[in-house]
Amino acid sequence: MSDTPRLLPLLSAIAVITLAFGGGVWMSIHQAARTDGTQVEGLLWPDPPSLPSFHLMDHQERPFTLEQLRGRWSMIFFGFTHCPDVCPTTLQTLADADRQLRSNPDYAQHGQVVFVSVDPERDNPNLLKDYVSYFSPEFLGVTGGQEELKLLARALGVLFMKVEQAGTEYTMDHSAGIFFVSPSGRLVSVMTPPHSSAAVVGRFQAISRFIADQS
Amino acid sequence: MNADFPVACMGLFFLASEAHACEGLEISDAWVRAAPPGATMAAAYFQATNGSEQRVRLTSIDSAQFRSAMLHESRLVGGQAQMRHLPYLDVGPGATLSAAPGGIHVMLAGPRTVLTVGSTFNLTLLCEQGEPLTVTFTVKRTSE
Repeated sequence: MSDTPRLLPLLSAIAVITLAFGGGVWMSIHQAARTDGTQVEGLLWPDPPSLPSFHLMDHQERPFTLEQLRGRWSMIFFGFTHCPDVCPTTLQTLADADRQLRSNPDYAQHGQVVFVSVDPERDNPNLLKDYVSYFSPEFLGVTGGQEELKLLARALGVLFMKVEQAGTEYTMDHSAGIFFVSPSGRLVSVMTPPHSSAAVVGRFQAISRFIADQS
Repeated sequence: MNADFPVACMGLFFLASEAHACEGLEISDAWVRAAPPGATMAAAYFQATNGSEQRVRLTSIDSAQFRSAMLHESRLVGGQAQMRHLPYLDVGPGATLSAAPGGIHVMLAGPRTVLTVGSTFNLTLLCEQGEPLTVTFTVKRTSE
């Protein structure tokens, strides 16, 4: 007499337990991914700050407000065009990252790099246009009044300050981070310098995948 | 007359020594980041190796192609990028100093020509001791 009929209930039970256990593990992993962003390096989660409304102007003299951050991913960097070292170095890194990210569907359609000048005294829209376009024709140069700049800066935790220098024109101290703003207008990550394009690309891919999984 | 001979020889020796530009400083990887047309500022980078047994002090930079050229340093202080003038730059005996993006650089203000990729220009390094050292810099997008 074959043992198969007697083994069937046992095998079925094992299969059920395996499925239940495996499913449970899968569910718990999936649940963790949905609620816990700690696995994603640099992700501000679960409560990424929403940005307030602000009114700046882009290099084509169009309004640049919270609306221009909604519905697309933004990588934002603060600086000024009279900055010979840190700003062009970072913008070149962002240009390289932007080019690589064009193959990412989340970024390719709606991604943008925004250079916010904290030196509106010298950076007029024309100068900003020549400056940012040099790194990429897709980049946006943005500036505005001191109070409006401070509104956005404060929300992102950015500081900037005019510093007089003997024997030369003034310079600006400014936060040198790269700020990732999600399509819902929330600050989801901040990268601290020194920057590399590979790290920027990696950070964007990790956080955009995580945010996509939440919806 | 014979007594004067060693003195004359020493004089020649010192003249030869003084003719050594910046006391044996060798500059390599000299480049400047290409800048947009109309840019008012640029930065030059280099590696400076001191092959001598004395400290070399770099005190200033001269260039006909810029309104001014100054030694500067970018620093990160609590996430803030700051740029400050350096009154001089010391390279210890046998040491190599790296002036690279995000750190020490020559701030070039008011370029008189457009800094297009592949073009070259000269900067003259002035040191505390020795003759000025003229170095050719190449315009590039990045250090590679």
